[in-house]
Amino acid sequence: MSRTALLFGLIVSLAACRPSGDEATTTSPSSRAFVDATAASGLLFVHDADDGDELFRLPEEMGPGGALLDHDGDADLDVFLVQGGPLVGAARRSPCVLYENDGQARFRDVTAAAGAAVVDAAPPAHAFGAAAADVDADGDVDLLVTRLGPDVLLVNDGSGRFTDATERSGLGTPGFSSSAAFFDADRDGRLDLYVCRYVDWSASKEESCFDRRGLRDYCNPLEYRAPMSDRFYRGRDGGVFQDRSEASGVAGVTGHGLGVVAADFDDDGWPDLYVANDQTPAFVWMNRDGGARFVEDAGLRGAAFDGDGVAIAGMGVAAEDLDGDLDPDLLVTNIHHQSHLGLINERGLFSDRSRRLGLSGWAVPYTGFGIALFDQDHDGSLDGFIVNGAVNRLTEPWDPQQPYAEPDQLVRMGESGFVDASDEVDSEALLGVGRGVMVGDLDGDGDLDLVVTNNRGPARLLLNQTTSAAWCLLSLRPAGGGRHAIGAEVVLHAGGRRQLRAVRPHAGYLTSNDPRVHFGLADATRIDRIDVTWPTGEVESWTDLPASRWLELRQGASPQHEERP
Amino acid sequence: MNVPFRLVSTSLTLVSCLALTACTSPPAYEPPPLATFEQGPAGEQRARLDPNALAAWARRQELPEPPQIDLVEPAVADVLLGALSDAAERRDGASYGLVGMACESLEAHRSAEAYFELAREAEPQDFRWVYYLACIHQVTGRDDSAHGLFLEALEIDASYPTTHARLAELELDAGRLGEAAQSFERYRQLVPQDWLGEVGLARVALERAQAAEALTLLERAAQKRADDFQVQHYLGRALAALGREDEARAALARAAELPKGAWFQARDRLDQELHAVTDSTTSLVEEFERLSKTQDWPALVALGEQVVAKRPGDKTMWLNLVSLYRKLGRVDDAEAAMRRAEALPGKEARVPVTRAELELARSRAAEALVAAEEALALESDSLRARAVKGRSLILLGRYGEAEAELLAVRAGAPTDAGNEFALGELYRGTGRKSEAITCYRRCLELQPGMTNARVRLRELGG
Repeated sequence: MSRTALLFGLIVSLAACRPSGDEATTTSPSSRAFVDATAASGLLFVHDADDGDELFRLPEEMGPGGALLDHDGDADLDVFLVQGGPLVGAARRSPCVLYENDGQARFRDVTAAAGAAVVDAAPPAHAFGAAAADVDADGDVDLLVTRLGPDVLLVNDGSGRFTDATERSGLGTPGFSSSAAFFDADRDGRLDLYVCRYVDWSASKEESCFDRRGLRDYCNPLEYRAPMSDRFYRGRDGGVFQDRSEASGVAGVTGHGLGVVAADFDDDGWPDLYVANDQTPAFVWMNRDGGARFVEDAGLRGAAFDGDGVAIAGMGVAAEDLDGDLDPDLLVTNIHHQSHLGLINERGLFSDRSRRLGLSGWAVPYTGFGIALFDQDHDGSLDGFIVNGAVNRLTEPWDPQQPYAEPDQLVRMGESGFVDASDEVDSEALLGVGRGVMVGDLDGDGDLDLVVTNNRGPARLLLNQTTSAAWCLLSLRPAGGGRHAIGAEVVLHAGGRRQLRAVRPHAGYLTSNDPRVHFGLADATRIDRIDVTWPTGEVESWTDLPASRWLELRQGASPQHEERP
Repeated sequence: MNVPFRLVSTSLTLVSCLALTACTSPPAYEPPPLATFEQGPAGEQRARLDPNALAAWARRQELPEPPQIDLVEPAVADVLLGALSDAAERRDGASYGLVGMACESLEAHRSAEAYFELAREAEPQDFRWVYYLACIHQVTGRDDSAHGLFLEALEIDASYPTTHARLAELELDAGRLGEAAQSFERYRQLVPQDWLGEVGLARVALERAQAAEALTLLERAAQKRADDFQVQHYLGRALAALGREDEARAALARAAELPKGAWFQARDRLDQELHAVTDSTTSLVEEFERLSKTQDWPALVALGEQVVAKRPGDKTMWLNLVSLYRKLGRVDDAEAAMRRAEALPGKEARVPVTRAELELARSRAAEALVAAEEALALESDSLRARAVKGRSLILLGRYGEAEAELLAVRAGAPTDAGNEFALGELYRGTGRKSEAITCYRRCLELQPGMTNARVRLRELGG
């Protein structure tokens, strides 16, 4: 058997019961994977990031992101969308927007009542992304907004109303923050935080760059010669954080950080980090001394560059089990003319298997940013949604009115890796200057929907149309308080298969996803067993559970579980 | 074989192109539509094309659709429209190929591909058109067809080394290790002095988990060129695979300090020809960047002047010219370039910093200080502004303040020999001989060829 066949042996067996990608591309409109429900949903958000003076300031083109969170505790996901706003002008202030869900994916703007606008700082404060988590372990979900300028922490009072707790929290470090990940580095039950930072930029450091046509355009980040070190904060009680960037080693190296994911790569029980850097070598921070220290080891572990030795333009990143061996592998989005990067993990050592994961062909013409890996059609194998948008004006634009717009892509795992299945989505819904994608069950039907953010364009709500096959949605509640057990790993056994997922809402680019864990179960009618490795290290199992239910599993409560409505 | 193309001065550009085609065309032939000129927001001249009219013209000529470009710098429009005229008139491989090259240099892949297909059909014995087609297939994600096209190019001409290297990369990515090894080996035979063949073979060996063999190959590559990123990177990977972790880390650390990427472009004459074909300002800027490592100031000035003539809104190049003129003692030219940069929109600290450096070069310390402080008001952490401020303060006799600035620069940029020299001068001028000697010695550690530091040391008996 060839190496390729060996690598994909498991995937082939999982994928055998559904159409291949090639067949999928001929799907009729009536069997769309997603429909664009934006207009009817009330999710009417347009990103604003332009000063209108054609000076092509770098931050204009990087956002926005957002977060899916249940801000008011009513058991559905609300949507927080990050607004950019002008970089130099003070006249216009553009608020971030919080949309409250009625449970049926119909939304209303509750920003003002919830205190979620984040507009109090003077320019050049400009927001990019968001990370949602219960930082003070009081049972409700709080929000971190990353910005150019100090980041902002909004603490939820339990009723869905936020107050700015930045100063008290210790998280107001200025800089060009991009993606952020809450995770429990030291397994003490309190969330810690990693914040990526992009370029040491200010309007006074802007450069003038031109494209091959001789027109002014955005600069490559390398032009600024100003990479930044990221920040690491240790979580303390009550939503207070201590900046441990220097002490942990994180401040010791610099890059153009855009995406981050926390996962236990070497299976030692401690969460490590992968950081996607834009045209500087990626970081792999190995957790040492029980979360007290991080050692950057991407070079030796084969993850700093792609297999050709190129420091890719790493944007978004997802960590999922791509080869079925029950450990987290990595998929990193990349700029056009290069494939996305697929890194297969073998006990903490990585190999570039991009081509063999199918990450050529469909991926190469576009610049990928946001990424979500999930089981769209519940067949038990991973699908993906990649959000694309150029960073320089396209010579052959898809839409002459939007010279940076590119189509987003739905992909499915086939026999030779991921294949393009974008024809299953309305093409108009896919075109934009894509940046972030948030994945979660927004209409309460058990499948995963998408919210896509576009740079200087509208956000889009894509509702999943899957009606067949069984599924499972898990809420994992930690023992020591806190809303979600971020970092918990789940192995689900059903229908003779095992699947690995984790509570990893921060994966992607500038976004925060549904914190619940979702599985497609294909034709299984019951779940044989669920093994949960909690962030604190304990392992618990549940057996013989119903399929197609939202289940809540509490740490220490096995074998009891709760069915959610 | 050279590709003929027309280079017309910007002032003649499109009009000359039209006149030429009008004189030489058969009656049915219609010239490309006229472009109009306009001024861009930064004062640069731009050509505005009518993509619909151009497409209609191409249809009438039974030519593939040109790129849907509406705005472009005049030189690029000149080459593109001239090439289209030639293609309509001559209908041979070279003229089709030239349109393909012009389109591809602008990343207009669809148009480029169509014209290269015509060139291949018209001139099947010229491997370049197949080669360029293969490259387009590769960058647009069609690896299998790219592989087939590279093989086709080799059937026509197997002597162009980069075809073998690109083919090998595709084969390696696809896990076709035997074929990749053969292709890298052929590259090595064609260019025995280049280390890329050994590096490629080592990568194949690493994929086969033959780390010892990979190491041997990489050590051989390092004998040819040790200061190459790929050599050190894969050396690190091979050593890591052999469990020699410390040596691996050392190799990877060496790799981290070396320039990365562009190894194909540096070896690919055809790629270089393609990107030079439009005579765009970007090509000149790339040449400027390459040349900047040589310190050939007059040549850099000549290139920089060409750039700003075409692109007067290029603030970066105006500022480069200020520094270059200053180095050449052309103070009036430096002042004129400085004013052009200052007149452009945007408030960046690099503008007053460059002004401060210019004033300092004219020994106008007070003016330099004002400009440096203006820069620091915009960017308080600018080490470059603090350095020029410190030097200005020395000239003004404000030694305590100067020392504070220069020490701050030292803290932020400890390997800046120029700053160390300035500190030495400050200490020397204030009678702090031993500290001055320490600074001059440090200058020579950082920059052994720094003759003025050596002279000062001799003066001070250090």
